[in-house]
Amino acid sequence: MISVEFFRISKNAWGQETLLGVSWDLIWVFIGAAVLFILVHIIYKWLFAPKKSEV
Amino acid sequence: MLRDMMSTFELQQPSSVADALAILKKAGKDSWVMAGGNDSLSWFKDRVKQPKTVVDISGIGELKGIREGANGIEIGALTSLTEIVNNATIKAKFSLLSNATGKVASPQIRNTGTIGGNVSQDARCWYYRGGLTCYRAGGNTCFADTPTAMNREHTLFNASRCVAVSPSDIAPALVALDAKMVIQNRSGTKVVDAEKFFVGPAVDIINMTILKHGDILTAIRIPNTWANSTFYFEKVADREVWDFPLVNVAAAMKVSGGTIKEMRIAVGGVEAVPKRLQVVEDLAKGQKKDINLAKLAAKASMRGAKPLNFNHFKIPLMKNLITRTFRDS
Amino acid sequence: MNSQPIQDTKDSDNIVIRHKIPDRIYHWIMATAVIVLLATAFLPIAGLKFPWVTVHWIAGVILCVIVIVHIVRALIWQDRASMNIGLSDIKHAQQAFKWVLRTSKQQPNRPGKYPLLQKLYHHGIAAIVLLLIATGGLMLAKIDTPFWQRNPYMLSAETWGYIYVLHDLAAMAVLALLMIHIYFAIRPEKLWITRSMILGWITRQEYHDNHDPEAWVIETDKSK
Repeated sequence: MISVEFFRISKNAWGQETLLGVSWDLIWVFIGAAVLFILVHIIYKWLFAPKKSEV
Repeated sequence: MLRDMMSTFELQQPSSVADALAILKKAGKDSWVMAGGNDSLSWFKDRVKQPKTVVDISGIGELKGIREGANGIEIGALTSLTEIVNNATIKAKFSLLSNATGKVASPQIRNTGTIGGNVSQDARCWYYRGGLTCYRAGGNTCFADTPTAMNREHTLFNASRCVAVSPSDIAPALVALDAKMVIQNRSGTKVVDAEKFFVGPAVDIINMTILKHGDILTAIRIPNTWANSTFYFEKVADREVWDFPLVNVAAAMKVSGGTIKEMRIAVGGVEAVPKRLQVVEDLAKGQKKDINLAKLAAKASMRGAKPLNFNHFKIPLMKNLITRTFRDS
Repeated sequence: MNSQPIQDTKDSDNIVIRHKIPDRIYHWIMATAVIVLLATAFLPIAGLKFPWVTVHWIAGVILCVIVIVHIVRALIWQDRASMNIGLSDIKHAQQAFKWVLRTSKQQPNRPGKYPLLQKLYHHGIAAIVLLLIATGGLMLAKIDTPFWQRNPYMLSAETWGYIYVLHDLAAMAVLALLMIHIYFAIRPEKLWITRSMILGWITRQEYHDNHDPEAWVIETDKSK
């Protein structure tokens, strides 16, 4: 199972936690969302989009 | 901070490099390669590094010993520093290396410390070692480069966010000798120039060498190119023994009739990597080895120096060491 | 739609300037800066190690300067109304929805200079880039430049953490939006728009086919 952490958090020798930023794993979520959008659009344009001649 | 109270970890003691590599793969990124333990155990005892698995490679026989070949010598990464200091071939052909190694820490540490561990050791910055989440520890801040920070041991050159320096005495000597580092991982073996083995924070702010998880430094090869040259090594530290260098210098020169035909020179303690002074090498080539060249080289070596608040003293110190390299070698 | 076929070739009388030279220069400098920023940000994370910090902050400063120039130019000299989202855009969107869902046979009206989706994309990426510039500008306080010395204690560690979260999220969003932007730029039916961002012009045929001449009244001066 893929688990994605949302934040990068450091823990020092005393156990104190500091927020560092967003987990780099999220890059793949954004890239995946863009690729998904593009694929859905390609399929939509190819199969479902009304042609101008349909007017 | 809790001291001398290591967190628990699984200890693995492989007897071959192949086994060590297999264990590293199985243990994943939260594992740690330990050789002599001088660097590793201080990290663990301070609880700054808390790996889940420690792979103690000190029992791997194939990584120990000094072998002489036709093209030079090969030193196993687990060879103790004492053995290197006392080795007759190294003393005779590469006294630069035995001198530099003899200046590392103390006799007790040289007995347990390995050459692989010495060149792979981590930065000695107070703030990093103290457990603060600085850039080198994966954080977003350098605590050593602020107006009030204690940074007398830190960089003169090429700082990039992090200002920690290379703490090794042996590393500049290996760069000066044009040594090759043999690295093994599950994909095979690669050989890298010593100069390229060390990386600065501009490229990698977390690691001081190119070693990645799953890599093991197995040997260091020193080619005969600089065998029996004129060598110079000097280290300046706050204490005569058991201390890291404020600045050290290692040089190898081919001198003929008082003229320098060729040379390599590297300085430690002033940058995150051993700083090779190519400008000095170019300047010295074909020049008479005299005090005028020494002074000129010292001046040229300072190009690009950018001292921090408390380490301006390193500028005259390094200049003097460069001068002495030419005057006293 | 215009029933009069118009010659679909480029000559000075037959073209309409869609993007003037300053706008095209702005677009491509911004594109270069954004690509350099994304490459220097994400390639080292992906494992390609190189000295990225200096290139990153210089590209960031260039982006900041050029965005300021663009904002000033857009507010003072350009036709601001062409980028406003108004009632007509909502109406077009409704028509488009019905047409796409085939509940209406009426093809949506042609937009003015910019269709609604282009405006939405522009405003979305503009907001994200402004967020990146604001957070990235603050981060400049943490590095030494020829102009100032670093001061990491300007803000607390916690505040810096939030700034990094915003910067990271915005950068990832720009990466995704850039991928979508490039996808549309290379779609065959959109190449005339891409060409206009390179050469500046569209043909009169393209103008009449894709734009409402009443909503986008072209300038009589054809000079680029």
